[in-house]
Amino acid sequence: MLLATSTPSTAEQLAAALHAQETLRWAGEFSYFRTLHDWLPAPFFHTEGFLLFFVVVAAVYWAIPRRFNTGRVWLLVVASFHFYAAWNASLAFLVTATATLDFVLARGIEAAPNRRARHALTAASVASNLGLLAYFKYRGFFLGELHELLTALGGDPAFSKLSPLDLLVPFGVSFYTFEAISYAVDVCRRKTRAERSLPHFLLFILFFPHLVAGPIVRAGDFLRQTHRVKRWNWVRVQVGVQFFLVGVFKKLAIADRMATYCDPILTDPESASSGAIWLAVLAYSLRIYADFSGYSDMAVGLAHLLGYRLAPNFNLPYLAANVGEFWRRWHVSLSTWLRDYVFIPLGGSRGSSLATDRNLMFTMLLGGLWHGATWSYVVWGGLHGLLLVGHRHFRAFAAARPTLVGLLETKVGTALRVALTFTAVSLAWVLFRPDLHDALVIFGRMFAFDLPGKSLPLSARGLWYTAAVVLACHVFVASGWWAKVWARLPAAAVGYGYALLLIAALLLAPEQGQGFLYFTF
Amino acid sequence: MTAPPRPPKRRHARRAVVGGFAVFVTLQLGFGLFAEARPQVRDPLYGDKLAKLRRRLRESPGDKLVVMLGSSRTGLAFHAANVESQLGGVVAFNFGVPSAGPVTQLVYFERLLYDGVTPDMLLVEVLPSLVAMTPDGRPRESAMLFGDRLTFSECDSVALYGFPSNAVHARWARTVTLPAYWLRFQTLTRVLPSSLPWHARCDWSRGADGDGFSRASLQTIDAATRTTLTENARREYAPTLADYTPGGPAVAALDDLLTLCRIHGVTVRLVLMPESRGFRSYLPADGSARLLKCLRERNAPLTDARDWLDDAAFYDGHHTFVAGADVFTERLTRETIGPTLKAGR
Repeated sequence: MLLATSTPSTAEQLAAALHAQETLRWAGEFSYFRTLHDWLPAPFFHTEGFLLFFVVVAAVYWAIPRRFNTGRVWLLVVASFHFYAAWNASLAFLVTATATLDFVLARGIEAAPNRRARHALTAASVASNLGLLAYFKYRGFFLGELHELLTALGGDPAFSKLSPLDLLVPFGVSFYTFEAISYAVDVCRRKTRAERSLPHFLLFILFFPHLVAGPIVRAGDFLRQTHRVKRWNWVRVQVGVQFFLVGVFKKLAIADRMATYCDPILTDPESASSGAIWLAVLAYSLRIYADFSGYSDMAVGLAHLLGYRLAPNFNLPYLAANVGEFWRRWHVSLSTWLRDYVFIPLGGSRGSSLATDRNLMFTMLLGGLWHGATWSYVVWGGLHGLLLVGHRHFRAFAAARPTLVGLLETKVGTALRVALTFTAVSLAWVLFRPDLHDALVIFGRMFAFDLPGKSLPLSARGLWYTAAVVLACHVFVASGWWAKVWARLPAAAVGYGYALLLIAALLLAPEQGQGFLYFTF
Repeated sequence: MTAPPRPPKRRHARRAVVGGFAVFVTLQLGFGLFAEARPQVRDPLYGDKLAKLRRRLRESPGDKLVVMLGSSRTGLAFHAANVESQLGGVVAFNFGVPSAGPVTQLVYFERLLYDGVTPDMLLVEVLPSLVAMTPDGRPRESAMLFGDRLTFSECDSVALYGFPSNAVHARWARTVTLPAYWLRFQTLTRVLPSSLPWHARCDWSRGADGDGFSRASLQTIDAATRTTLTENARREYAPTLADYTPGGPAVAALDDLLTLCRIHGVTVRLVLMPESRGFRSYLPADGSARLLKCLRERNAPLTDARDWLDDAAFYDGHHTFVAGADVFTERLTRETIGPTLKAGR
């Protein structure tokens, strides 16, 4: 506890500044949006406010007769706008305006009389989206770096650095700009037809289940669904409910709980013991997986409940036997986006070995920068790039040695590869935080192995139980055992399973709820 | 024309979803009603002590029962087993729980009567800060005793003593409609205590001995730690005690507790618990005079034990080590409990 007379901490100053900023922001908004904000203060799916919002939207949606499909689409557009406007009305208008611009430009791209005009309009669409991303997300980073460079060169920059308080990064900006870019490029490549209906296109960008943290949807997959007339289907409802409940469990019982283990250690690594830091890194690995995949599961589930299908974003990533496989299982919608719109256009693996390595490195550096405008994310992306390059060369080395391949593909060999990949990915997560200096301190204390300091804030038993549960679930699902058992269970047992899963999630929710890590990207 | 038969997959899915929802709602309501019928479920601080008390009563049927209600000060200072060995033929029980003032004590005493436990003698700790007048007219306990520990009728009762009725009832209602979430700390404390940080656990009473007495986790302490803990206590209590006037709804709750004792023929003594010299200095002389005047007007005998122990008996100025607890209990038994029981009043 702080002394009442002591100087306010940085955190207190930040909180006070954010509060002042929040007050100022709402002073310029209509009171309607202020009321909306009171109902839905943050775009989280597992809150009472959101569940009430969703029940009302879903009830009205399914009550609209099927022949008025465009009415249903408009309803979802309006609901999605309100979902975002409850957090920030100005930015909701901005997102809607840029989406409308993308709609108009895509029509232009399709109607363009020649290749040059088509490419010019595509460039305009891509530039407007990258401009949005650069303005909101990267200007602080680039201006800061430029400021430091000019100062280091002895110059006197005529501008000041931006503090984090000057930057209000719209939730999900990295997600919906990528969706809009891929749409423009696909229309230009004639892979997708330009959408004729504005509400259908707005729904593609604004659809609230994927708006703030993905999955990154492709126009070809989604727009088709907006035109298809939806019928109430219990099988689909069951799938949606199941995804949603699993997501809630991952978020409350694993991610938020793991945050209570890792946050106190990783935010103050200098006072923590080496052992505590190793355990905190394990907790952070579990947290980040459960947090993002839990959010994605909830998003997929909610979409199903409205008759839409979003592609699953995760496929048991911690069972990956190498880093390449990890990226085919982790945040699949981003990794496939980077593959299709960065790696392959750069030449992919069609050129020389060196060119492939270069393309991999560039793609992963860009992927790192996509996650956040700090050097630590760039280094994280670079490290994954190096791991991918290393694995590619090792694969080529092993291909000429059948005995080695045979050994690696035995059960023991596979288990060792999975363990090694998990260790490498977990160590890389240390860099997946805004502060590079803290990450270096964490590595320093981890690899000193026996430094004394504070221990985990809770008994490590809970951490080991959670790790065991996550591992067991991965193995059960991967072996196919789970699918077999689940398909044969009677409806009553499945119903009990749902009820108990939700009760377990609620029981295990920690004292303080946490935001979603990927909302900041 | 008859409709085509529904595909079995759809029927299975509907049954699973609707059934799951029904099971969830039923389990929640069942748990909520169970918690309402058994306050021990929603308030393990009370429930665990009640279980220990009942065990002691079963072990010594026919013995006189002395119960002390109070806060953590009582919990750490009233070494009830020593009373039993000192007097014989007596079951003494420490019902001290953290942050309990007159309103909690009244609620707990009513629960004890409802649960069939009527003490022969009741010692009631008076924690000065919890009987202070407050600017908003609400007892300070209203920031420590919430609706999740109370039954519906108890929510009504505490609202009579200045607790914010809407907030208390709203919190109670949440624990009945969604107990898996709102009673999760109480539940996890029983089934998986290692999953909770210490401040979220409700196992204070479970960790007490068979007579309800709790030992401080540290029994020796270095000077720096003692200074830190004492400073924490100063920050918590000194502002309230600096300009001290007892009164308000907390004193009304104390009056009602004393009246209830008289109705049930329970002999009652008020006790001001031991404090270090430094801690006593937080309450100025005129404040102390007002406190004593207020308590004497309550028409119940008062034992003022504030200066019974040396400073070394405390780790933070008002919570005692076991050695201090033994000294306090011996004197309380000799000067208050023994003579009172002997006099049979």
